Amino acid sequence: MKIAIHNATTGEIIEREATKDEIAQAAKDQALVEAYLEAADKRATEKAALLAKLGITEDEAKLLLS
Amino acid sequence: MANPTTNYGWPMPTATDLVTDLPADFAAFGQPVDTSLKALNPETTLGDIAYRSATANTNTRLGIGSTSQVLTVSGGVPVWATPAGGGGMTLLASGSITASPQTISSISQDYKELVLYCIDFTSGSANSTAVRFNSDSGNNYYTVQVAQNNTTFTSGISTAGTIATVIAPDRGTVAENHFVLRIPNYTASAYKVASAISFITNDGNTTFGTTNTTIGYKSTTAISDIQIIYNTSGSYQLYGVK
Repeated sequence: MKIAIHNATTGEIIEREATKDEIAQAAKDQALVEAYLEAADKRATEKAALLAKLGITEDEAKLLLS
Repeated sequence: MANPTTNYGWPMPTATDLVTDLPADFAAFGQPVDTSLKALNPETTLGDIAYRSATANTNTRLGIGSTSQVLTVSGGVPVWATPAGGGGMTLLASGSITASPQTISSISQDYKELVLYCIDFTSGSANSTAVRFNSDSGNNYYTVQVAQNNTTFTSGISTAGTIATVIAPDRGTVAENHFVLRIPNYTASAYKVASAISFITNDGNTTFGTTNTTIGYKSTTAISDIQIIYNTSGSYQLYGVK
Protein backbone atom coordinates (compact mmCIF):
# COMPACT_ATOMS: atom_id res chain seq x y z
CA MET A 1 0.00 0.00 0.00
CA LYS A 2 1.39 3.39 -1.02
CA ILE A 3 0.76 6.78 0.52
CA ALA A 4 1.62 10.24 -0.81
CA ILE A 5 2.49 13.35 1.18
CA HIS A 6 2.57 16.78 -0.46
CA ASN A 7 4.35 19.37 1.67
CA ALA A 8 2.42 22.58 0.97
CA THR A 9 5.28 24.74 2.25
CA THR A 10 8.18 23.28 0.30
CA GLY A 11 6.24 21.75 -2.59
CA GLU A 12 8.00 18.42 -2.04
CA ILE A 13 5.93 15.31 -2.78
CA ILE A 14 6.96 12.05 -1.16
CA GLU A 15 5.46 8.77 -2.24
CA ARG A 16 6.34 5.79 -0.09
CA GLU A 17 5.12 2.45 1.18
CA ALA A 18 2.79 2.72 4.16
CA THR A 19 4.10 1.76 7.57
CA LYS A 20 2.59 -1.06 9.62
CA ASP A 21 0.62 1.49 11.69
CA GLU A 22 -0.68 3.24 8.58
CA ILE A 23 -1.82 -0.06 7.10
CA ALA A 24 -3.60 -0.88 10.35
CA GLN A 25 -5.29 2.53 10.34
CA ALA A 26 -6.37 2.02 6.71
CA ALA A 27 -7.99 -1.28 7.67
CA LYS A 28 -9.90 0.42 10.49
CA ASP A 29 -10.99 3.18 8.09
CA GLN A 30 -12.10 0.59 5.57
CA ALA A 31 -14.28 -1.11 8.17
CA LEU A 32 -15.80 2.24 9.12
CA VAL A 33 -16.61 3.16 5.53
CA GLU A 34 -18.07 -0.27 4.86
CA ALA A 35 -20.34 0.14 7.88
CA TYR A 36 -21.31 3.59 6.61
CA LEU A 37 -22.14 2.26 3.14
CA GLU A 38 -24.05 -0.66 4.64
CA ALA A 39 -26.06 1.74 6.79
CA ALA A 40 -26.84 3.90 3.78
CA ASP A 41 -27.91 0.84 1.77
CA LYS A 42 -29.98 -0.51 4.62
CA ARG A 43 -31.76 2.78 5.01
CA ALA A 44 -32.56 2.95 1.31
CA THR A 45 -33.81 -0.65 1.31
CA GLU A 46 -35.96 -0.10 4.38
CA LYS A 47 -37.40 3.02 2.86
CA ALA A 48 -38.31 1.24 -0.36
CA ALA A 49 -39.84 -1.67 1.59
CA LEU A 50 -41.94 0.68 3.71
CA LEU A 51 -43.22 2.56 0.68
CA ALA A 52 -44.13 -0.77 -0.93
CA LYS A 53 -45.90 -1.89 2.23
CA LEU A 54 -47.86 1.34 2.39
CA GLY A 55 -48.60 1.17 -1.31
CA ILE A 56 -47.60 4.77 -1.92
CA THR A 57 -44.92 6.50 -3.92
CA GLU A 58 -42.11 8.55 -2.45
CA ASP A 59 -43.76 11.73 -3.70
CA GLU A 60 -46.98 10.74 -1.96
CA ALA A 61 -45.04 10.06 1.23
CA LYS A 62 -43.47 13.50 0.98
CA LEU A 63 -46.91 15.00 0.53
CA LEU A 64 -48.09 13.30 3.70
CA LEU A 65 -45.18 14.66 5.66
CA SER A 66 -45.32 18.19 4.28
CA MET B 1 3.20 94.98 -14.25
CA ALA B 2 4.63 94.93 -10.76
CA ASN B 3 8.40 95.01 -10.51
CA PRO B 4 9.55 92.57 -9.27
CA THR B 5 6.71 90.28 -10.52
CA THR B 6 3.91 89.55 -8.10
CA ASN B 7 4.06 85.77 -7.80
CA TYR B 8 7.68 84.83 -8.33
CA GLY B 9 9.55 88.08 -7.61
CA TRP B 10 11.40 88.16 -10.90
CA PRO B 11 13.23 91.55 -11.30
CA MET B 12 12.27 93.47 -14.45
CA PRO B 13 14.20 96.27 -16.23
CA THR B 14 13.09 99.71 -15.13
CA ALA B 15 12.16 102.72 -17.27
CA THR B 16 15.40 104.45 -16.34
CA ASP B 17 17.66 101.57 -17.30
CA LEU B 18 19.98 102.30 -20.18
CA VAL B 19 19.97 100.17 -23.33
CA THR B 20 23.50 99.15 -22.43
CA ASP B 21 22.13 97.67 -19.24
CA LEU B 22 19.91 95.20 -21.15
CA PRO B 23 22.32 92.20 -21.10
CA ALA B 24 22.69 92.53 -17.32
CA ASP B 25 18.93 93.08 -16.95
CA PHE B 26 18.19 89.88 -18.92
CA ALA B 27 20.66 87.98 -16.75
CA ALA B 28 19.04 89.35 -13.59
CA PHE B 29 15.60 88.39 -14.95
CA GLY B 30 16.34 85.13 -16.72
CA GLN B 31 18.17 83.24 -13.99
CA PRO B 32 15.36 83.56 -11.40
CA VAL B 33 12.88 82.47 -14.10
CA ASP B 34 14.98 79.39 -14.81
CA THR B 35 15.28 78.65 -11.08
CA SER B 36 11.52 79.06 -10.58
CA LEU B 37 10.64 76.76 -13.48
CA LYS B 38 12.96 74.07 -12.19
CA ALA B 39 11.47 74.37 -8.71
CA LEU B 40 8.02 73.85 -10.24
CA ASN B 41 9.13 70.96 -12.45
CA PRO B 42 11.58 68.86 -10.43
CA GLU B 43 10.90 65.62 -12.39
CA THR B 44 14.00 64.00 -13.81
CA THR B 45 12.88 60.58 -15.05
CA LEU B 46 10.17 59.12 -17.25
CA GLY B 47 7.05 58.61 -15.16
CA ASP B 48 8.04 60.97 -12.35
CA ILE B 49 5.36 63.23 -10.96
CA ALA B 50 5.54 66.43 -8.86
CA TYR B 51 3.43 67.61 -5.97
CA ARG B 52 3.21 70.82 -3.94
CA SER B 53 5.71 70.95 -1.10
CA ALA B 54 5.47 72.90 2.16
CA THR B 55 7.46 75.70 0.49
CA ALA B 56 5.59 78.07 -1.79
CA ASN B 57 6.45 77.81 -5.50
CA THR B 58 8.52 74.70 -4.90
CA ASN B 59 7.29 71.25 -5.87
CA THR B 60 8.65 67.91 -4.71
CA ARG B 61 9.61 65.17 -7.13
CA LEU B 62 7.99 61.75 -6.65
CA GLY B 63 9.88 59.12 -8.60
CA ILE B 64 7.92 56.59 -10.62
CA GLY B 65 6.72 53.63 -8.55
CA SER B 66 7.13 49.94 -9.27
CA THR B 67 4.83 47.75 -11.37
CA SER B 68 1.44 47.23 -9.72
CA GLN B 69 2.02 49.89 -7.09
CA VAL B 70 -0.73 52.41 -6.51
CA LEU B 71 -0.67 56.06 -5.48
CA THR B 72 -1.77 56.60 -1.91
CA VAL B 73 -1.18 59.12 0.87
CA SER B 74 1.19 58.78 3.81
CA GLY B 75 2.06 61.55 6.23
CA GLY B 76 0.07 64.05 4.20
CA VAL B 77 1.94 63.54 0.95
CA PRO B 78 1.44 61.17 -1.99
CA VAL B 79 3.51 57.98 -2.10
CA TRP B 80 3.59 54.85 -4.20
CA ALA B 81 2.67 51.70 -2.31
CA THR B 82 1.94 48.05 -2.99
CA PRO B 83 -1.78 47.47 -2.49
CA ALA B 84 -2.70 45.27 0.45
CA GLY B 85 -3.99 41.87 -0.56
CA GLY B 86 -7.53 41.00 0.36
CA GLY B 87 -10.13 38.48 -0.59
CA GLY B 88 -7.96 36.65 -3.03
CA MET B 89 -7.28 32.92 -3.22
CA THR B 90 -3.71 31.66 -3.16
CA LEU B 91 -2.85 28.23 -4.53
CA LEU B 92 -1.01 26.37 -1.74
CA ALA B 93 -0.68 22.93 -3.31
CA SER B 94 -1.87 21.06 -6.37
CA GLY B 95 -1.21 17.74 -8.00
CA SER B 96 -2.55 14.41 -9.10
CA ILE B 97 -3.97 11.88 -6.68
CA THR B 98 -1.59 8.95 -6.80
CA ALA B 99 -2.24 7.16 -3.52
CA SER B 100 -4.65 6.79 -0.65
CA PRO B 101 -4.35 8.51 1.68
CA GLN B 102 -3.09 11.52 -0.25
CA THR B 103 -1.84 13.91 2.41
CA ILE B 104 -1.33 17.66 2.03
CA SER B 105 0.96 18.62 4.91
CA SER B 106 2.62 21.75 6.39
CA ILE B 107 -0.30 23.94 5.37
CA SER B 108 0.31 27.65 5.92
CA GLN B 109 -1.47 29.18 8.90
CA ASP B 110 -1.66 32.62 7.28
CA TYR B 111 -5.17 32.44 5.82
CA LYS B 112 -8.74 32.75 7.03
CA GLU B 113 -10.08 29.73 5.19
CA LEU B 114 -8.94 26.68 3.23
CA VAL B 115 -10.69 25.56 0.05
CA LEU B 116 -9.88 22.11 -1.33
CA TYR B 117 -10.97 21.08 -4.81
CA CYS B 118 -10.89 17.43 -5.87
CA ILE B 119 -11.68 17.01 -9.52
CA ASP B 120 -12.37 14.03 -11.78
CA PHE B 121 -11.86 11.33 -9.19
CA THR B 122 -13.43 8.02 -8.34
CA SER B 123 -13.29 6.30 -5.00
CA GLY B 124 -14.05 2.94 -6.52
CA SER B 125 -17.01 0.65 -6.05
CA ALA B 126 -16.52 -0.17 -2.39
CA ASN B 127 -15.66 3.16 -0.84
CA SER B 128 -16.83 6.67 -0.22
CA THR B 129 -14.42 9.57 -0.32
CA ALA B 130 -13.39 10.77 3.12
CA VAL B 131 -11.06 13.27 4.72
CA ARG B 132 -9.07 13.37 7.93
CA PHE B 133 -7.37 16.35 9.55
CA ASN B 134 -3.94 16.42 11.22
CA SER B 135 -3.72 12.62 10.84
CA ASP B 136 -6.10 12.58 13.79
CA SER B 137 -7.72 9.15 13.94
CA GLY B 138 -9.63 9.94 17.13
CA ASN B 139 -13.39 9.74 17.33
CA ASN B 140 -13.66 13.45 16.53
CA TYR B 141 -15.59 13.73 13.27
CA TYR B 142 -19.32 14.46 13.19
CA THR B 143 -20.85 14.34 9.75
CA VAL B 144 -24.30 15.14 8.45
CA GLN B 145 -25.11 14.53 4.80
CA VAL B 146 -28.04 15.27 2.57
CA ALA B 147 -27.86 13.53 -0.75
CA GLN B 148 -29.75 13.31 -3.97
CA ASN B 149 -29.52 10.67 -6.68
CA ASN B 150 -30.97 11.57 -10.07
CA THR B 151 -34.36 13.00 -9.14
CA THR B 152 -34.63 11.04 -5.91
CA PHE B 153 -33.94 12.66 -2.58
CA THR B 154 -31.85 10.39 -0.41
CA SER B 155 -32.59 10.91 3.22
CA GLY B 156 -29.89 12.41 5.35
CA ILE B 157 -27.20 10.38 7.04
CA SER B 158 -25.58 11.34 10.32
CA THR B 159 -22.35 9.74 11.50
CA ALA B 160 -19.77 10.20 14.21
CA GLY B 161 -16.43 8.53 13.83
CA THR B 162 -12.73 8.58 13.20
CA ILE B 163 -13.04 9.82 9.65
CA ALA B 164 -15.28 12.29 7.80
CA THR B 165 -17.00 11.05 4.68
CA VAL B 166 -17.27 13.86 2.18
CA ILE B 167 -19.65 12.49 -0.40
CA ALA B 168 -22.56 10.11 -0.43
CA PRO B 169 -21.88 6.54 -1.48
CA ASP B 170 -20.09 6.58 -4.78
CA ARG B 171 -20.27 3.10 -6.20
CA GLY B 172 -19.02 3.94 -9.64
CA THR B 173 -15.57 3.60 -11.05
CA VAL B 174 -15.89 6.42 -13.56
CA ALA B 175 -13.55 9.27 -12.68
CA GLU B 176 -16.10 12.02 -13.10
CA ASN B 177 -16.71 12.99 -9.51
CA HIS B 178 -15.89 16.31 -7.90
CA PHE B 179 -16.04 17.92 -4.51
CA VAL B 180 -15.20 21.24 -2.91
CA LEU B 181 -14.34 21.27 0.78
CA ARG B 182 -14.28 24.56 2.69
CA ILE B 183 -12.71 24.91 6.14
CA PRO B 184 -13.17 28.39 7.59
CA ASN B 185 -11.24 29.47 10.66
CA TYR B 186 -8.96 26.45 10.34
CA THR B 187 -6.25 28.00 12.54
CA ALA B 188 -8.54 28.53 15.51
CA SER B 189 -7.86 26.89 18.86
CA ALA B 190 -11.53 25.91 18.97
CA TYR B 191 -13.68 23.19 17.44
CA LYS B 192 -14.05 23.58 13.70
CA VAL B 193 -16.74 23.15 11.12
CA ALA B 194 -16.22 22.34 7.46
CA SER B 195 -18.62 21.96 4.59
CA ALA B 196 -18.41 20.06 1.35
CA ILE B 197 -20.46 19.94 -1.79
CA SER B 198 -20.00 17.15 -4.26
CA PHE B 199 -21.22 16.06 -7.62
CA ILE B 200 -20.92 12.46 -8.67
CA THR B 201 -21.69 10.48 -11.80
CA ASN B 202 -21.85 6.81 -11.06
CA ASP B 203 -21.79 5.36 -14.48
CA GLY B 204 -20.52 7.76 -17.04
CA ASN B 205 -23.01 10.58 -17.24
CA THR B 206 -26.26 8.64 -16.96
CA THR B 207 -26.72 8.69 -13.19
CA PHE B 208 -26.06 11.81 -11.17
CA GLY B 209 -25.87 12.58 -7.54
CA THR B 210 -25.15 15.60 -5.39
CA THR B 211 -24.31 15.73 -1.72
CA ASN B 212 -24.12 18.49 0.86
CA THR B 213 -22.01 17.57 3.84
CA THR B 214 -21.34 19.38 7.09
CA ILE B 215 -18.42 18.19 9.18
CA GLY B 216 -17.85 19.06 12.78
CA TYR B 217 -14.26 18.48 13.85
CA LYS B 218 -13.84 18.24 17.61
CA SER B 219 -10.29 19.45 18.00
CA THR B 220 -8.72 22.64 19.30
CA THR B 221 -5.57 22.12 17.20
CA ALA B 222 -5.14 24.26 14.10
CA ILE B 223 -5.44 22.22 10.91
CA SER B 224 -2.08 21.85 9.21
CA ASP B 225 -2.65 18.72 7.17
CA ILE B 226 -5.50 17.15 5.27
CA GLN B 227 -5.71 13.55 4.15
CA ILE B 228 -7.85 12.68 1.14
CA ILE B 229 -8.87 9.05 1.52
CA TYR B 230 -10.17 6.57 -1.03
CA ASN B 231 -9.75 8.70 -4.10
CA THR B 232 -7.91 6.59 -6.60
CA SER B 233 -7.58 9.13 -9.39
CA GLY B 234 -8.13 12.76 -10.23
CA SER B 235 -6.43 15.91 -9.07
CA TYR B 236 -6.48 18.28 -6.12
CA GLN B 237 -5.93 21.99 -5.58
CA LEU B 238 -5.70 23.51 -2.12
CA TYR B 239 -6.23 27.28 -1.82
CA GLY B 240 -5.81 29.65 1.09
CA VAL B 241 -8.32 32.50 1.27
CA LYS B 242 -7.36 35.80 2.90
